[in-house]
Amino acid sequence: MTTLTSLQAALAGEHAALFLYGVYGAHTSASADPALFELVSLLYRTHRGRRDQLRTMISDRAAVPVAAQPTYQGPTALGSAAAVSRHCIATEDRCAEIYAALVANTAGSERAWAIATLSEAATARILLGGRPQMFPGAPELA
Amino acid sequence: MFGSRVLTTRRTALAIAASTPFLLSACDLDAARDQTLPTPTAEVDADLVASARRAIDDVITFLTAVSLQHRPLRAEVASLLAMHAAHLEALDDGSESEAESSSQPVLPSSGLPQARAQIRTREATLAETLADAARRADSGDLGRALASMAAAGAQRVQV
Repeated sequence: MTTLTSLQAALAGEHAALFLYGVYGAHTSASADPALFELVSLLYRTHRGRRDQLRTMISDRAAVPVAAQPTYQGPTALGSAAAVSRHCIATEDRCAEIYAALVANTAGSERAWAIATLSEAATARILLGGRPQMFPGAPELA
Repeated sequence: MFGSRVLTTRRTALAIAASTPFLLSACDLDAARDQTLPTPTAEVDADLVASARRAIDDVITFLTAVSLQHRPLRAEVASLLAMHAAHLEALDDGSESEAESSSQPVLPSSGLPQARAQIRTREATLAETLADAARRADSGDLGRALASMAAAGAQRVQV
């Protein structure tokens, strides 16, 4: 996989993550669960920032950033804070895998950014109440 | 999701990554790399793996001492030791491991809160060491594995 292909894959992943976090936020109550609401809002902004960064990195290579899809298949059972957290964790785990792949297909400053972003995705799992992993983003190594 | 990488076993994959030349693709390279001289990439990666293993070994030595000294921390330490053992196994390329430690041993504090703080500091430092190694690895697969280990350490610091 080329660096550009990997960057486009990461951007596609962030488009999906942004859509999903919008759904998660709509199912989180600021009054009933302010901590989760704040965290989901923070992660939404984080993914938006990464999306923008990836667009820049791809444009800097004179390529057209992949566009978001009109819609994505989202979870249907989000009736509790626990369900929202569980799905957020699943989204962060998928992002961690995307960024681990980006590490493998980049060098220099782009790889440094991918490494930091992988750690952020892994840490978000913990903030959401998830358990630590042996190899975040690279489960086949476990 | 991320290409057609095929890994037979993790040990084989990382051993291959550390011992064979890095095949250049369409990836950008650091501008400072000298293209007129052959870059000993396999040697660089082998040194990175050895250095990472020594760093992990040092933390294992420290954690073992903590476990002996502080019973309340044994469960937490056992979990960390299991993680580090898995990371060492992933980095095992079958070569002889060096007996010499990479740094002066740090003795655990006699106080429980201080020992817990020391654990966090050592884990955070190790995570940064592994992230730095990931940045410098010539093999993409090795960089990915080291970055994953760094992220695992970052998770533990967050817990």
